[in-house]
Amino acid sequence: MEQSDTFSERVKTHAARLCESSPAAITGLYDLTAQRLVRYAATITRHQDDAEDAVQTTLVKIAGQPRLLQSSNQPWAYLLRMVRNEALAILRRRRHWHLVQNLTDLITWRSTDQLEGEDRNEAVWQALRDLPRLQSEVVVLKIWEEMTFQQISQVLEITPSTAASRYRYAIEKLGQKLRPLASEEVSHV
Amino acid sequence: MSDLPRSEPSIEDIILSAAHHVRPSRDLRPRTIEAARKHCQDRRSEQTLGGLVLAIMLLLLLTNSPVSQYSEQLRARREIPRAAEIERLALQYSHDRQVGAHFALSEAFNRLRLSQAVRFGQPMQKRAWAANQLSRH
Repeated sequence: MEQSDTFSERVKTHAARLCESSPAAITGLYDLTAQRLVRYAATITRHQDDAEDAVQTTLVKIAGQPRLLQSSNQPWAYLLRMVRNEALAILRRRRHWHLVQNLTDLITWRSTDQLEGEDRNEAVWQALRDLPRLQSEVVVLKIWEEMTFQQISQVLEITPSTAASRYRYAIEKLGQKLRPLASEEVSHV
Repeated sequence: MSDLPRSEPSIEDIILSAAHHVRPSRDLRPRTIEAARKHCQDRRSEQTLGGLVLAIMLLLLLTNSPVSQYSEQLRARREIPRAAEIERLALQYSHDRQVGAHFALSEAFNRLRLSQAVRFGQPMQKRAWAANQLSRH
């Protein structure tokens, strides 16, 4: 929670800079948040292009009205909620809904020293995509964004207990898929 | 080093390790910054245009408002007809009806009062009477 709060403070600082200076200050906010926003949006839209559209629309809105973010008590949660709303709007607009079965849409980091982790990471993303959206969102916010269930409930507009139970179900399902990976890692050592 | 068997990473650890697997595309940054810059410019233009429209609407409202109409009435009330104007009307009346100059002057003055009564919004009955008198003339 502490890390999440610290990050939220950094988001707020960038929003304040945006209010004081010019739209050019959006670069700072982009550099700070884009990767995290894209990965969150990608778990909702299940397509990177749509996720990037949602992030771009959100940041453009913030550039126009930075006080929205600055005046929020939880700027990071607020930004995530904005991205979520945009991502859901894109999903509604997309008439020909198609589920991406593979991960070919994703743009990933590829470095030679991380090749062995590549398969595991792809397995994680695939497992997250196989989950119902409402469950994968909670997992992303809990593990990657290190949010409490209270904070997650604010982003998703649900009760903390609902968030906790969705998380429990999701981890159970993810465990079935990812447990073999964990065992493999131990056997390789 | 410990000889204890290495424990299995938890599911949370495995998921956490994939946190930075996905990254934004290269063109998202310039695309977003350009869109933000354009959006802000458009907003500024809209605000300027909105201010102008508001100013014009206020101006129109002030010139056509009941207040301006009332001030126009007040101005008309203060307008005193010139003697030359009454004299001109009297001469015209005398010429049209073939009546004496004194009677024509009195009649012109009377007509002027009647027209003022109509213009300045006398009570309904009085206004109808005045309008009737005017039409008779």
